[in-house]
Amino acid sequence: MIDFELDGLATIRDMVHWFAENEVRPRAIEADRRGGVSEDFIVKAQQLGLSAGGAPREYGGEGDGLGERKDRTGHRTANRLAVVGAEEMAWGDPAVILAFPGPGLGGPPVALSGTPEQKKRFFSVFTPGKPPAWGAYATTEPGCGSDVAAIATTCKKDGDHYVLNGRKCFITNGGRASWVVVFATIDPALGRAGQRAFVVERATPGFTVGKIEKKLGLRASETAELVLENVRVHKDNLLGGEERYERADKEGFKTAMKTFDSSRPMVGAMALGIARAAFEEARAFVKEHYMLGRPVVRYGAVRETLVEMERRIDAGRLLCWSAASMADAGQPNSKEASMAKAYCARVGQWVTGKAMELMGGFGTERERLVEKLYRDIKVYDIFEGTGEVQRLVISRRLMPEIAIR
Amino acid sequence: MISFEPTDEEKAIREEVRKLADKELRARARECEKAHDIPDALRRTYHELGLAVLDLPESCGGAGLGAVTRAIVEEELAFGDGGLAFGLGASLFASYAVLELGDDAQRKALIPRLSDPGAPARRGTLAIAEGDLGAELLDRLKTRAERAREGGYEISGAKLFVPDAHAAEVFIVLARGEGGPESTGALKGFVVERGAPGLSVGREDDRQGLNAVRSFAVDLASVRVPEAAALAGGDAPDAALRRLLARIWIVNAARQVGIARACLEYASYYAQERSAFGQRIGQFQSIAFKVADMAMDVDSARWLTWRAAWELDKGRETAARSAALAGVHANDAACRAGIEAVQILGGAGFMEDYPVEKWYRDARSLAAVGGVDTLRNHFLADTAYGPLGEAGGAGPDPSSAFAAFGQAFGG
Repeated sequence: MIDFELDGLATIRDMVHWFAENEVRPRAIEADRRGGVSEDFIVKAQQLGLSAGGAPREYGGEGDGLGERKDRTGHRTANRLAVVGAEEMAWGDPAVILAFPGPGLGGPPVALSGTPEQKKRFFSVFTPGKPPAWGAYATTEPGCGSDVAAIATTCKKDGDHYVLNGRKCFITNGGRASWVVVFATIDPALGRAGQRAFVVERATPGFTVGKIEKKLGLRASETAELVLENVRVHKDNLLGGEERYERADKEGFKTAMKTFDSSRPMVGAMALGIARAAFEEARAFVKEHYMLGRPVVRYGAVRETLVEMERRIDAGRLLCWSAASMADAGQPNSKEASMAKAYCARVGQWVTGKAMELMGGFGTERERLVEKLYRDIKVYDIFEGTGEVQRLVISRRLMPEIAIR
Repeated sequence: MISFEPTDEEKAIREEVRKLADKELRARARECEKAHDIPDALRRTYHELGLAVLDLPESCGGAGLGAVTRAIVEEELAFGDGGLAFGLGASLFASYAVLELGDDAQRKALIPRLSDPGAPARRGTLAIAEGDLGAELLDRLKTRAERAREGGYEISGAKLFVPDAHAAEVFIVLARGEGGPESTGALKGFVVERGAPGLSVGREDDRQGLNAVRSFAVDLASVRVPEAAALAGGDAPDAALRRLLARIWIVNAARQVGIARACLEYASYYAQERSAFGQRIGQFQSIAFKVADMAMDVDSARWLTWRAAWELDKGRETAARSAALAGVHANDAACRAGIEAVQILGGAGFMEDYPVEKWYRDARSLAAVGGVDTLRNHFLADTAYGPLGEAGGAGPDPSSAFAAFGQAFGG
């Protein structure tokens, strides 16, 4: 039955919103300036169980446990919970939340493709009570971004080990992660079929952190380069185990793609949270400020811009909800996930730009949030597949008879 | 809990309507457009499937389903042909006016008449628009209903764009009663029978699209109606008006989604078949990305429409506001889809041998007569931010001509 009621998700959204408003937002501008989040805040986030991505409850985590609840039709609610929560969190601050301890984007591939033993081993580091820990996810390389099939990092079988060589870049929390899901290929000539996903643990010899990036936005989030020089990874850390790759083709690539089907709507929802924050800032501004003796909000073009912002934000939210609902129902949702992400990234850029415009010179001031949001939003049309890549995914599904490159 | 999955019943209805849209509406669209009429047989099929009464109460001979089901059905019909969806449903808005503004006795008497399957030509129509004003400027309507000394009302005014006015047996006319010139509170619907002295059908509109149905100017010169002809809106006339507008906007938004989806599907099909420069044109990213953008417009417009319909079914006060947002978004989606589909088909898109030039015109026309975006945006802004102009702070200003409507919107 078609339904737009949040039901049980509303309580969680309200809790997340409370945290975002009271704990995250007040730190946003300062964290952006210093390029990181303070230790005490990280400990606090850890204590509250706000792990980014969430580890499944059966492996000691709490985040995803909520999402394992079923709705009345027996479907999972995890993806819907993720988009509803992600919007609120990003509304608080999109960069600070990325610094939260937890498996992050490394969570979904381990949860989706890991063996029970691997899940237990890798998720156990996030058990409440233990020191803050992070997971990370590494596909991007200097030579390949959205084109996941083209990775050049190699893995060569040597006894019970694989030897990994290559460089990964733009890895969120890559420098401090306890483990990183690293995608490598047994033979670049094999394309997708040659891909393998490994969990590489910190301090494995030859696995080092390179440059920490300085960025346009999301400055409070750590973005690292990872270098792999003859890194020996035991076969027990091959995600899903060796048999899995013997059984089926392209498992490594599928692991990467499956992650996108649930992460893209969530990334879209984050872009939406940024858009909503900018919209609310601009709305408050134009109500309070006067231009030529008239409240700014009383000019026709200004108010109608606000209405259009609201409309596009609502439209984007429903695209995220729809893609997440499909994922929860176990329906193929690649097209819808890409639509949610591409649409929200574009809406976010448009809304933050308009918000600055409505605030005039004030919008560019460093102590106001909108200036930061305008910088933060850009990467949402780039990471997790650029807007162009999303449009390729969508158009391929709509025109299956032809090959679009 | 959030769900975008229609019920099994809704899916079954959608399947039936999809067949009708495919076999009949798509196939006969041109013929009906040229004839400016819809064959009785097609009208009968529409009635036999129960589509005229789908979302009307069972006590009035309806099927008692909700606005969400209606939205699903209208999208499918308009996917077949937007002009025919509009034409076949010409009586629907009159039924909605009776449903929302009438009392129980009026509903039971009028709704079965307006949706009588035995006499498809016997239909009603809703007359709102006037002179230089659209339906959204309800507080500015000039048609007046004065109390007559001998009882009942005397209605005078001029209405525009009244669909089916040449054939309609019942006109529901929105007019202002006592209560001052700038208040929606005094607005009522009035049931005017065809042939009433003083009622005359004037100039026929020569329109850009939606040509399967004819529309006319209608004059009312001291038209006398009995007391019982007034549809007064019950205890809360503002809320009733708001629901009426929401119903109309939801239906038209769903139709725009259908037209946009037709454009998307046809253009994707064509782009896979047509070659240029040694490859299928859909392989060019400039075409492929257009298709992707159209798909995002279609889906987001559908979800906004469903949300408004769902709110209406739940009796939420926010339904009219959501319906206005959905309407604007759907107009945007359909007009852009029309433009892009014509563009993707190139020269063929311009020709009547292909359907997209018609959908382009139908989308644009529906955006003009089914709820005007500039006005709806204006009211959305009024509700949220108070009236335009220099007076006072940012709160609503009761002296504004728009305030009454703002209040009607719950602002």
